[in-house]
Amino acid sequence: MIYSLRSRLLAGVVTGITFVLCVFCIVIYTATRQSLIYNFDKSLLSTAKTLSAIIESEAYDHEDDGQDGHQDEFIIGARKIEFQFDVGATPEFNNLSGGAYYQFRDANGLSIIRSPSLANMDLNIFKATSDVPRYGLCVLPDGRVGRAVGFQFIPKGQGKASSVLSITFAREVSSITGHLNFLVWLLLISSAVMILLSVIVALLVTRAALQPIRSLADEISTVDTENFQETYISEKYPQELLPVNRCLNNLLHRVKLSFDRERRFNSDIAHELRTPLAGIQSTIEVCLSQPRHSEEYTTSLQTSLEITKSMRRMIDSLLSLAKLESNQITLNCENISLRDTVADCWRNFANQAYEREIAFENRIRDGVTLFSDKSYITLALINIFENAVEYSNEKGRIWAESDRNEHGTTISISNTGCTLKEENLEQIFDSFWRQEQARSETGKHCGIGLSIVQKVIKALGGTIRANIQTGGIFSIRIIL
Amino acid sequence: MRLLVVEDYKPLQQSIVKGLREAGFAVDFTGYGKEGLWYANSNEYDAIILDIMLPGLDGLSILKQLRGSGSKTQILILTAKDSLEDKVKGLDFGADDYLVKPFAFEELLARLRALTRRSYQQKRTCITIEDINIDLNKQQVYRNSQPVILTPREYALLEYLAMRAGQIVTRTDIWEHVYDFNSSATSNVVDVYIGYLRKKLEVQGKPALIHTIRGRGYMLGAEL
Repeated sequence: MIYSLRSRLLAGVVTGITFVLCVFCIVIYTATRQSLIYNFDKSLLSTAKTLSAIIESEAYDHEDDGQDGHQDEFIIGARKIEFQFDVGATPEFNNLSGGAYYQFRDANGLSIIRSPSLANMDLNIFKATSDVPRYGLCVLPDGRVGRAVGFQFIPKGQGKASSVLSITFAREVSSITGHLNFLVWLLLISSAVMILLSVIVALLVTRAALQPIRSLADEISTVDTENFQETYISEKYPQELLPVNRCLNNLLHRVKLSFDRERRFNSDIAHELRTPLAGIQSTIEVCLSQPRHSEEYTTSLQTSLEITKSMRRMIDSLLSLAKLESNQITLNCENISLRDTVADCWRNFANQAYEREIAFENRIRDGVTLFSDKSYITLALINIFENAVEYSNEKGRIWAESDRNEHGTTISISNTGCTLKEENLEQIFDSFWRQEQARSETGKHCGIGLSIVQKVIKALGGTIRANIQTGGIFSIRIIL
Repeated sequence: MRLLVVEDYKPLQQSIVKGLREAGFAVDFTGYGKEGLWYANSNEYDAIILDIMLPGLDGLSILKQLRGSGSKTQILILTAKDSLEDKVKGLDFGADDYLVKPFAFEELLARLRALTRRSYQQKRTCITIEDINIDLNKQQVYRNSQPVILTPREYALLEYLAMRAGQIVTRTDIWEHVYDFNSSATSNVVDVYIGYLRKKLEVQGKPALIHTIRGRGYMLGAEL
């Protein structure tokens, strides 16, 4: 799935900012709310304490009573409670929607005094001391929600056995909710503006931040098949793009090497074919340049035929190489007798070896088998033997050995008369590489034999190595 | 004219040598770089045909060493390397000409004729000395407008004398430029061929144009 880096960056930035803003808003809202409630409660408590301080209690004798009954005096058992508070001067206690309510109760919880604003309703009772009052929400007579504080207290007065009273004082909380509602709206609007601004800023920033990618893309788009050999992606981009930059340059370098190898290979092929072609053309042109005896024509034709045959061998080898390089081979593995296969392959070179008095020794024991593709093993062995016979000294020796261990089966073909240097060992498997002395054989050996062997062994899943031992012994060692 | 062919591919080397000899050139040849350099230093060739990829010592190194030692021999590089880079490199190393394989043999001959003419500062393809006309391209000779039939060796001798017309040419010069290592000629063969040439160029009532300079050699031209 294709996604946009810019959208991702944008979404990430906006989500992050929104989250931070939400947390910020919640913190602000909670802190403000707590602060408002704290101040509100403080004010509630202060008023409640003032009201409770107005209450006075004194001993009461029933027999002395009856002459001056006052509306703010209450008799509780043997005590008389006086509450001298002018409700008329404080309208908030006077009517139902006044917003302030109080209620005093005796020790049994019976209401003794309540503000006119309460009508006949009761407020919650809180059993707490004035030092540690209790607060709570309550429903007010007009249906609004209010906040109340309550505590028990002993009214001031004469006598020892003052009775315990409790007070509940409530106020409606519209001032707090109004403040909080305003705060919510303020936070919501400012957050929305902040998010909008952050989107715009993020758009601009991501656009600017992604500009180097566009520049890099523009630079890459200038690379084509004509100029990629000379092209190098400049390292002027930001640090984050450097890995991409380096990977691209590495890729370009590898492609360049591959193209160079391909071009060199093509050039080598062209060179290897041009020379024998020149031989054929020159032989025929010289032959036809004047009337000749039939023997001369025959000689020229034979020369041309020999060149043609060697060219065909070379083309066959090149085709094998191309096939191996493109992995277009199918293996038909079977159990093959190594000793017999080596002997069969050697037969192709027996005459050539005999002419140069080269001795061959097949040291592979009977019964050594190998599970592999016989045709490809044969192709590899023939190329190795061709090489060995070619580079062995006159009256030299060639021998084949095998060994089996935990790594697999090892086949070694060695020959004497090696004039290679250690530093050449890395090159001998390169296509068209030839030892200097083999240059006189232009057209006969084009230097792809060992390259074919290497690719065959690789296709068979094995490894191949060459080494030079003291006494000019050259060995090819295959492990399958 | 005497040429050196340094080419490692045997079939090509043989056909070139054969074709050049049939075209009247004296030709030495080798397939090895170091031997080629030795040949080039040991003899005064009129032109050298040089391959680049050679065993022992490559063609460009030979070229460099020859030019380094002051050799002015005309050198034609004959190679399968056909890239512009290779051509420029070959010519910059001091080659006089560059021919890519495969090539038409006629072209090789024409280029060699041009190179040998150049080595004697001869720009024209026809040389006229008194009433002798030599067509260098067709290798035909006329005296007094009458064709003179010469063997390839006689023609090569006359061509060399004509290239150096007016100069005294020693027997050694002739030996070095008209015969190759392969020649089974004896030491007086030059005198014998000069004799043949004089006879064939002889016209009744006209002066002989090949003069013997006693103790020094021969000269082609009007009477001294």
